[in-house]
Amino acid sequence: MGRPLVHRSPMPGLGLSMGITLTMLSLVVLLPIGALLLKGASYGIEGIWETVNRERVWAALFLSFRLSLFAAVFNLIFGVLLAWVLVRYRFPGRRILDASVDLPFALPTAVAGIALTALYAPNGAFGSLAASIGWKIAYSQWGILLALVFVGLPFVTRTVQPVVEEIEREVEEASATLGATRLHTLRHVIAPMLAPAALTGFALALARAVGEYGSVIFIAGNIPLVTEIAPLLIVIQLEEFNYDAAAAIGIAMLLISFAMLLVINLIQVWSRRRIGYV
Amino acid sequence: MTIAISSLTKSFGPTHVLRGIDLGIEAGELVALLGPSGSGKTTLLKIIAGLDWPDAGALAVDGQDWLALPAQKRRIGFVFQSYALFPHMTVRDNIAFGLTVRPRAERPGKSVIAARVDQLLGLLQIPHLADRFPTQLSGGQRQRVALGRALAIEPSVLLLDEPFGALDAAIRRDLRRWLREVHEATKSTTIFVTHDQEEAFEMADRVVVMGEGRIEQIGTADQIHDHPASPFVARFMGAVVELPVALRAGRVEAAGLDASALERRAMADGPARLFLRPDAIALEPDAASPWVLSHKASNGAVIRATLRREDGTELPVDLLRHSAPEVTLGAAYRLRPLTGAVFSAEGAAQSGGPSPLPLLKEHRK
Ligand SMILES: Nc1ncnc2c1ncn2[C@@H]1O[C@H](COP(=O)(O)OP(=O)(O)OP(=O)(O)O)[C@@H](O)[C@H]1O
Ligand SMILES: [Mg+2]
Repeated sequence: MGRPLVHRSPMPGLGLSMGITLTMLSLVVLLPIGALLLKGASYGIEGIWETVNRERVWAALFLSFRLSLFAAVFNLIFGVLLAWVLVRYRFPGRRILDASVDLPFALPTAVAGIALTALYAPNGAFGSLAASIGWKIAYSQWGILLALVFVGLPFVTRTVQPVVEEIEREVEEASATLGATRLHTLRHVIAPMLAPAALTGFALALARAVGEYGSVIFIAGNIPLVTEIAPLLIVIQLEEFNYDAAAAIGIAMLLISFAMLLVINLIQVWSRRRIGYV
Repeated sequence: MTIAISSLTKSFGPTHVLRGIDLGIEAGELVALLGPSGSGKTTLLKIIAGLDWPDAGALAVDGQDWLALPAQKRRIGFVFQSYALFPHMTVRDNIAFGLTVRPRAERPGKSVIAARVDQLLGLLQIPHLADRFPTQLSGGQRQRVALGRALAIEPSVLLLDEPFGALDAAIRRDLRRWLREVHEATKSTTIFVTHDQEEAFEMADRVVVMGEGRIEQIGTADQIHDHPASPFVARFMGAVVELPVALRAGRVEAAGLDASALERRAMADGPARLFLRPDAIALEPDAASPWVLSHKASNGAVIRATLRREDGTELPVDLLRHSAPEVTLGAAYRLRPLTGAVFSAEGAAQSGGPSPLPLLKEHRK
């Protein structure tokens, strides 16, 4: 009698739950992407290239990814800071601030876009202030950046917050007794511990920003070559029943996003191997 | 380094955690802080380390006022109960941390640091673990790394907070002996916290017994066992048998009690309380005694006998199974304590005999 070749997992119901998960994943994620790629395949690589290789499309793609990256970097810094403050400090209004971090999740993006536009338009509360020093926020790339920061912030804060909660005070105290200054502790002890979660939050915020449509179109002004984002270009093509072109731009975005997320994942794998935990 | 602590007090809001601590520690001494949970041991240790500040009092090390010095400047080796290793660094980097953080001018060269770490890894008997991360270590191994990290900076004072709390009995025993050896080798002034008496007495030159934010007694194992300074210390040392007695001409008297083995006390006549350890009582058959053996159980080495009086009072006695004379259920026995502590009925501490410490004027329970 040989030992069974299949080692059963100690987790009950692994087979069943795995099956359900894979089915759902296929239906919700893989199938639409597959359909998109199929659509593109019928169009042909040349067709795609022809659609994408136009000044207006390149400008939109470049704008979308550049501003998304800026917004994600800003969110990375500010989101980690916010998570730190929320966990470590006790101040009046902390709970309200904590709850309001989720607002961008809950608010319909169009509402967020309209509200931001109202505030930052040249005749809005903050917009007029900025205008007085010659700074145009709404209907410029600044406005797009603002909207992308708004929708992406909770991703970083909410991924980093539980990790900050878990950091033992004693680890910091140990660092202090060993002679490390506060700054050194922050850079060499705390930052590396937060890095994996912060990177995950960064990737999420970036992905969200790239795909964001609703809030941006209100504040962007949508001037071709200047403030026109790639998702808007797709919608414009759809409205003209130009499905092939829409799919082509979609595929271009998909490829660039995939490449960026891949790089982030590789960084994570590398840092985890180097850090050796998580 | 000599440490002088005087009248240290500390409260967290309404709770008084330290109520006036006076303690002097000699250079190179190994002192144990022993006390029940919540007695303020960790708080005292953190104040010495500069991780917390007292409300009042003074802390001087070699004459220097340490309360004016931040933790970074004190050169303390602190070993936390939870170890608090840096999870993203290897064992080697953890141990080297205290050396690599030094400002460039004072920092030893890379090769010097590596050599120092290697030497410590040898001393800790974990050279094979140098490249592992803390999550890949057992509790005892983490403990050693935490100690190595603290020793690397050649600390002026080594502070250990329940260093063996989370380990099993066999490893505790090994590490105890080993820590004692490390102390002999490094000769750094060391304070360690524990609530295990055996550990405290086995390792320390002197033991400081703390209770509710006060120092109850300072002394060696023998001094504290034989002459507890207060009912609190007596109870904490295991003298759980508490008998009301009468004092006459320095001797304690009670029905069924033969106190002839106890030394005379220079105490006024009157009611008093006698504290005894269950294992320091011999039983002698005496039909006139009110104490009757009601129960006995053996754990192999020790027979735990329960004696009962007519009014329902019970007391435990531990007899060595192989050397104590046989006892029978239902028979009456006289108690013959070998050592014991006497306190006057009001609870004022008076144990008689040489006292290792100025006795506390009051003991609040
Ligand atoms: N940061 C704090 N805030 C409020 N109370 C505290 C704080 N730290 C300690 N205490 C209180 O101070 C008292 C003494 O705490 P401490 O940690 O010094 O006890 P300990 O003797 O080390 O106990 P243990 O053996 O359980 O570790 C406890 O009642 C505890 O609740
Ligand atoms: Mg403690």
